[in-house]
Amino acid sequence: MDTLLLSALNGLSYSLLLLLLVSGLTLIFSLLGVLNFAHGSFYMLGAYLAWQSGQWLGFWGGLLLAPPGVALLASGFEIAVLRRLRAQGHLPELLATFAFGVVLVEAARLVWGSAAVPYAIPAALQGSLLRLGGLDFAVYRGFVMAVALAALGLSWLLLRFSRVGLIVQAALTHPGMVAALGHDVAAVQTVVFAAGAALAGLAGAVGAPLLVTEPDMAASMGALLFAVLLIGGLGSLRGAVVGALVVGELQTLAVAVNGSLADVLLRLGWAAPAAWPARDGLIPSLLHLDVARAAALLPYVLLLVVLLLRPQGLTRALGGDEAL
Amino acid sequence: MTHTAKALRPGSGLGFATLVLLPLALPLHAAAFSLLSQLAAAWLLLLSLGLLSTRSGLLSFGQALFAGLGAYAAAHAMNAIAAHGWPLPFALVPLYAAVFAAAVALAVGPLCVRHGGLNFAMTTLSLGVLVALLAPMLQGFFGGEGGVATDRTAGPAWLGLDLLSQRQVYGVSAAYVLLGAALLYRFDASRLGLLARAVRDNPLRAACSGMAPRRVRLGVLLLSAALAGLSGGVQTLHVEQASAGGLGLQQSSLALLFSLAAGSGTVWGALLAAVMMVGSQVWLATVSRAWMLDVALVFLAVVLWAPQGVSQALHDWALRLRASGQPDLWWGLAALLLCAALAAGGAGSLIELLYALRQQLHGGGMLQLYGLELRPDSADVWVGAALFTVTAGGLAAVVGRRLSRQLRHVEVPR
Amino acid sequence: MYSSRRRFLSSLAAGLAVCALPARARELPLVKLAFIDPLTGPFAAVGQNQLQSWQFVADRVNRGNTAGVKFEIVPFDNKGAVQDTINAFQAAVDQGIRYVLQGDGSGAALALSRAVSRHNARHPGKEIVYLNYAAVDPALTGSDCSFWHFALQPSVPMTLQAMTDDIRDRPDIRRVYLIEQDYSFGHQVAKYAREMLALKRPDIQIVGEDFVALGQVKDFSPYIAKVQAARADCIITANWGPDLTLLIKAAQQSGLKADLYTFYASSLGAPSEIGPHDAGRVKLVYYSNPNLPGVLQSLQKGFRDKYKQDFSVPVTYTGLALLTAAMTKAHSIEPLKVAQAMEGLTFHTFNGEVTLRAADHQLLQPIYLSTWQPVSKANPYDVENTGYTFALDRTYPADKTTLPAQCTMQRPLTTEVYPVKPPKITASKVPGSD
Repeated sequence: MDTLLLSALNGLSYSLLLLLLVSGLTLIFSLLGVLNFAHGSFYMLGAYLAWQSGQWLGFWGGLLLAPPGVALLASGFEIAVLRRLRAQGHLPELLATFAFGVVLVEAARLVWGSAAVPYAIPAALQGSLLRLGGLDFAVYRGFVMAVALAALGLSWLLLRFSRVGLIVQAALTHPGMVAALGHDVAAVQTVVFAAGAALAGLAGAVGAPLLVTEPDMAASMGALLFAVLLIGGLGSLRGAVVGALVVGELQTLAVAVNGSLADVLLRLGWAAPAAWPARDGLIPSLLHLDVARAAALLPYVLLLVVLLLRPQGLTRALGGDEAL
Repeated sequence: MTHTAKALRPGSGLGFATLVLLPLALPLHAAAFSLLSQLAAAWLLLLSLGLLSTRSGLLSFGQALFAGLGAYAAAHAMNAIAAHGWPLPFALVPLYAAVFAAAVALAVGPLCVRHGGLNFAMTTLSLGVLVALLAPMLQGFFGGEGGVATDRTAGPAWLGLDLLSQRQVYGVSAAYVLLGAALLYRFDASRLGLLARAVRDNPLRAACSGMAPRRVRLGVLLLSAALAGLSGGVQTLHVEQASAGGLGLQQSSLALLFSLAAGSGTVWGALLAAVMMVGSQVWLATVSRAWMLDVALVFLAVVLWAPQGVSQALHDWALRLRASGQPDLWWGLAALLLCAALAAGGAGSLIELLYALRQQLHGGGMLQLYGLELRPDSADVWVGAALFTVTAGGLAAVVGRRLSRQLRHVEVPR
Repeated sequence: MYSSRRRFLSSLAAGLAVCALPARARELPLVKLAFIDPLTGPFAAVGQNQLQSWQFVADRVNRGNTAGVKFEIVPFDNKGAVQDTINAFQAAVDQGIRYVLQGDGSGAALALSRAVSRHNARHPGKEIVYLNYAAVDPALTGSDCSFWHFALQPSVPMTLQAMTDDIRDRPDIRRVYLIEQDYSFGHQVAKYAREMLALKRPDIQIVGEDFVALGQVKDFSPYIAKVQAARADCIITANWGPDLTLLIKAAQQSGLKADLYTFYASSLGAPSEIGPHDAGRVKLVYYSNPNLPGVLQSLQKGFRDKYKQDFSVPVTYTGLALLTAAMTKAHSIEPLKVAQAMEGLTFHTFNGEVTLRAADHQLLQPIYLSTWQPVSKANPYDVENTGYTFALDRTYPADKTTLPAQCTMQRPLTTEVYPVKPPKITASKVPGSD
């Protein structure tokens, strides 16, 4: 029981890291309409910037400098490239963000090399926060959770109650009117893109000591982010929360399940064939696949189920042009 | 996205066929035929992606799934034929791969095509990633980490083909390329082709007129998957190995992006995309460590200056030039392309210098570029390369601007 | 008197003739070795380090070797993918290279082995020899074994023999947990570990077995939780790459007390991720140890001075030692003759006298058990500047770890095995003496 609780807590810290990443992605999509394929690269860049500035200014300096650094780079890209493509439609923007993502990864390889850099948990944050079932819940994981909650809380407050936030909310649904009222919608779009990138950079800066800081971390996060985004529902922050929590806890708690679909069928009274048509046949292999082994696949299975049954995601209402 | 993307004008169909069949008459080295076979497989894959995106407005992030499964099916079929001694020629195995891939599309298609646009893209993405992740775990069909190996010479002789030489393999691949082109013709002229474009442009109106958008999209997806399966089958014939590495998201998205960048909805566009894709992954990757960066920068350049795809941009330029009635402007276009190529070469050299500099800091040596030995840490080399790039780029910009100004008022007859 | 002057003159003539020979042999035959491994993409760091290792060792060996040859390493980038491996192999063949080196990835290794066999069958007289220096899959020396493939890294059962021997001798270990990667290699490790432990210590319980999808898992804490819930005393893992480093980091963060027996804790970057923690808990079972005396120390120092990275692939030295020894024995650089000379060859390398078993072309070499400890006088090599090292605990000679070969390979038929040895010129053979 204690171990399960510890796993759930660990899953929560993982979910909150995912949430930090996906919230930026959903923010960018809701205002700009573009799926940011460079988001994983922003995450990676945040980690590298944090480590590099950490070499000169210590861990906290690195943490403070990384998100603005990523935001600066992202706004530069938005002004130079994305703005010019806005009239062309979403497809060229998608292509541009993908290309930019690759450029960032290759640039990181050039500057820091292909090997991982030793971005470690600082001494002040090492150690255990609680002890459950004989294992520690690391202080740093608690720190990650705190940072994620703080950043998201701040973003939500800004969106709801600040002037810029109100303009952004209005621009989400009525960009034409907002422009007619004299606000610079293009600047708002740049700010939102930069903010989304900053959130990703913060996720990288704060999460990388738990993981491995290497150029490949961008690609390894890529597909998972889109799964979380779509499970929750595109374009809503609430959807991002739901999606991240569901995927994070699912991946973590599924590892504890040692049974397979065949075991469930056995309980219901039907012995699934162990060999059809051959010993390694596709159907028996899938039926006898342990849920624990399939833990990494479950987000995508869930995505397929969600797309089948509720294509708008778990929290959003269906848009008018998406019915067909 | 073009509104009237015709596969080909009738005259250039013959030109395309000639170009495809020409290498068979030339005394080329085996390595050249090997490259051409790879081009053929890439062409089929990129055409399938272009078909889906231009005729149906659907972006598929899982096309490598159909191609990969087709490759596996072909490998298993070839092994089974060789083991049982059935009189089925290996040259026809790609057709089986196409049918297999279409069957897979029939099974998963209804899930994908329920809604268009982003939904379709994400469904195909998740399917592709799922199968790619499952492949190392399911040993039976996917043959474990090493994949499934096969021997293309182990089949029965047919029409004198034993498929030993690369020339014969390319001959078979070329036949499938022509088959793919013929299928595209027939599709565009058929009812399904017209319906597909109607559904792409306005699904609501199409539904109200009585055509079921899902059925139409499924039809296009089946054809596209069949072409992708052909691609996988041809590739298996060539490399004699089917592996799970080709199933992943990286492969799928790269193929999609080449397809969009070059505009592979036509046979010539698909050829350009295939040349770009194979050229960068097979040739550029052997010549330079910076190939991924080069590819990404080329994508950025294409998206900025030819957002509808390179082949479409060239097509538009050509139409406008012909309509302007001024033959001198063709020299302008040639000058523009030349300067752009030189600027690209200059930028590439700068990147190479950058990589060589990093290499040198870690025990590497001199840089070999275009036959010249260069020292990455000497300022002269850097300044020279930078000046070259800037000059060529500037010239390209100037020529481009003059040309656009000349053609601004030209009406293109449709 | 007349005979002694004549004898003197003929010896002088013979001596001059012998001295004249090296002048004609000044041009050393060049042997090109194609290196096919990832140089770009997600595995680029390891591949680049391996390429540098081969180049470094080749430079050393080119200064002088018994075979009198020069080696040149020609790199080909396979981006870690099987299809590109086949392409790279084709490109190497087109360049006329007759020796191929590969090691990153058992998938690529299997595909390459089959491609090499196919090529050699179709083009007799233009055979290619494939030296597999790091990829481990039982099929390579078992069901898919080939005459042209040579395995330089210990096989899974060999490493596990050493590992389970150590576990057998530790009475404090009674519960073992297996965490492997979910593909054929990981499953083989689990299978052999179970069998060997059941044989050597029937009282040991395998309290859990988990397979993780390759490179997908970011958070290993649920697996650590399972290990703790099962009260395991040690974990056996053959994970490599982030699957290993993330597992170790998760164990550190959770404060897990179990020992970790690994295959790949010394691979590039892993020691830095382990960091100056976990003293005495992370164990490495490997064919090398950075504190081995002898030529390894000078290789490590030279490599670090030149490339600022650790020399983590010492098998490269073994590979070139094997090739030079075989070429010396065969008096030829022809792949077929060299391959025949390599079978059953015993030669000297950084970890002692090793033998290449003829039955399955598996190199039989000592295996070392090491523990991650702070640097000390007995074990002074500082791994990746962490202040820690792999302290050498036990050495398992080859005869303790090898299992019978399980390979029936078809050997090429030749009438002549080695060329006739040229006669040695000695004074007593000169006509007219005695």
